[in-house]
Amino acid sequence: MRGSILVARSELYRDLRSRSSWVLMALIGLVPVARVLVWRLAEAPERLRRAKAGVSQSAEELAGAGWAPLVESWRFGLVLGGLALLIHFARGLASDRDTGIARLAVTRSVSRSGLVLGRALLAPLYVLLLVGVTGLAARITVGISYGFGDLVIDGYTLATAGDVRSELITSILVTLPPLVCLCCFGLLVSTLTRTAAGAVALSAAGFLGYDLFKELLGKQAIYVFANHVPSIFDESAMSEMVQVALGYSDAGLPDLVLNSAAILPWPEAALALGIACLIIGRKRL
Amino acid sequence: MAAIEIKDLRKRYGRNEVVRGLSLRVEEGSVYGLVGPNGSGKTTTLSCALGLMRPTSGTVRILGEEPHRLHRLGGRLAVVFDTAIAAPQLTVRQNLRYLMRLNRPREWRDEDELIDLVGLTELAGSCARALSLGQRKRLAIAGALLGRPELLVLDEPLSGLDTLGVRQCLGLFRRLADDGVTLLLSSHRLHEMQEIVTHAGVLLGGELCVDGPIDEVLGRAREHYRVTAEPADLAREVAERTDGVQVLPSEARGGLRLQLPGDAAPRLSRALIEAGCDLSALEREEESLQTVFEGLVDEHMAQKAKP
Repeated sequence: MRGSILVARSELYRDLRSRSSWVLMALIGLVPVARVLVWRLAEAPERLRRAKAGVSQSAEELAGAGWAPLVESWRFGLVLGGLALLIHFARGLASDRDTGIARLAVTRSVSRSGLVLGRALLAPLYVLLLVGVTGLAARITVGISYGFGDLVIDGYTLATAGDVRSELITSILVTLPPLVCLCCFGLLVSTLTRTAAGAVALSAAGFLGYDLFKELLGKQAIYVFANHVPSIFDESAMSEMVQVALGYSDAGLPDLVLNSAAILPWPEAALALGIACLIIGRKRL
Repeated sequence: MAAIEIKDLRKRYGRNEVVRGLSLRVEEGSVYGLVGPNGSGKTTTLSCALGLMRPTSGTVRILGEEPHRLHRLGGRLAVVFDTAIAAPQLTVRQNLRYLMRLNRPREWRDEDELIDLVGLTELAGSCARALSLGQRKRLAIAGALLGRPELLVLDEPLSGLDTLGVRQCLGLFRRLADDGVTLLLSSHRLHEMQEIVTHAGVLLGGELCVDGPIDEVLGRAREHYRVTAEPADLAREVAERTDGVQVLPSEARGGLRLQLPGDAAPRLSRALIEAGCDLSALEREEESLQTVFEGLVDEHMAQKAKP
């Protein structure tokens, strides 16, 4: 365990002092900003139409109009940020094997499994950072133009601001375990491949491939962690939350989805790490 | 006591056995040079010994630990690999700090002292990506010395270094050896290795052909001569006919390279002159790790060439 902590500590040091990490974080922070701008642009024709027709949104409707762009831009940031995290975790270990750092580590201070587990220790931290950065960027950008009051559509109050906030917090909380599991999946991929480039390609292809073909799994897809990670063809809690914020759904998130997203990724992450440790234990470094 | 003890190490890739029953002992406080041509099994041997690869059979102990438990040595062992650099995106100083976080040695060496020791003071704030190969090597050596190791294993430590860099590194290794650090160096730079090693082993075809204190190894050097005579074909024919003379395959500097007992030299020169050869030189090569190595390679190749 001490070796894993050493790896986590040194990796954190390396990432914090690497310019590319900061650039990547800034870019991820810009994703929700860009999404909000696109949202504003997409709304322009509707606003023009309403203006021409002399129909304007009520003050109540405008007061709660920020929820939908907030959730959507946050979700979008998590989609690209999740992919970046996956690539970061898949590339890291494979790259260290390429450059010889893994050899240095195992001959000095860390067991082979410690190399994997040390990086896995950073996964929750990086996921929280991702959620924080994207959430903050989305909140600030949306807050400039929209309000976060009660959710009112066509004069009907669908949910109070407190309800929407509570539902959003639940959605975010159940998105954390799948994202952590995604990082562990990245670590597994990094042990399977020979090069960093191979790890990046395989992890991205695996994630996007699953997204494309998950429908083939039918209802069983709910038991796979990747189903709960925000993605292009999204079925995650955040995707459900977008529907709620848009007023298309007032049912909230089904318990089965919530439970699957909150619980199943943990044993799946443990399995991925276990397999990764087994593989790295047998692999030439 | 042995810092490294390898017994009957074998490594097989499919049908190809690249390390064949290698046994090796590196005594504490010694400087051991492991030499061999490309493909002789040096890197495979080191990889198996350091737990980076599983051997097919055999036992290895490094400072008393098994190869897969070297991380328990807590910084007593340090390894410098050929291309290893911690983080190209970080500066020289940050690389050392990164390695400090990755290790758990008993005691630290001051990073400034180390940077100075390997001659990178002016580059301490430069990005490691911008360093030359030689400078990277020196950085890797600095990283290895962070925790004051008892045993330092260096894979090709001199490759890519200029003359000054080689001098600096040899001086550094000598100082470390004087401080009681055990060194295992694998290198092709035989002339330079000879200056610092106390023990040497020559690996050929996965087997350790010669192993022991450097004086003993040099004592094994057969007398090698270089003959320059015209016509070359006739000279070769005469040499092959002369008792006790063996014509070696390598012709590094032109002429013939021969292995012969000391008393055969006058006989050979007489035979060459009598046969009508224009003999311009018959010179004895100096005994060195290089000649031992070349002699062993020649013998090995001659053996392989036999039907």
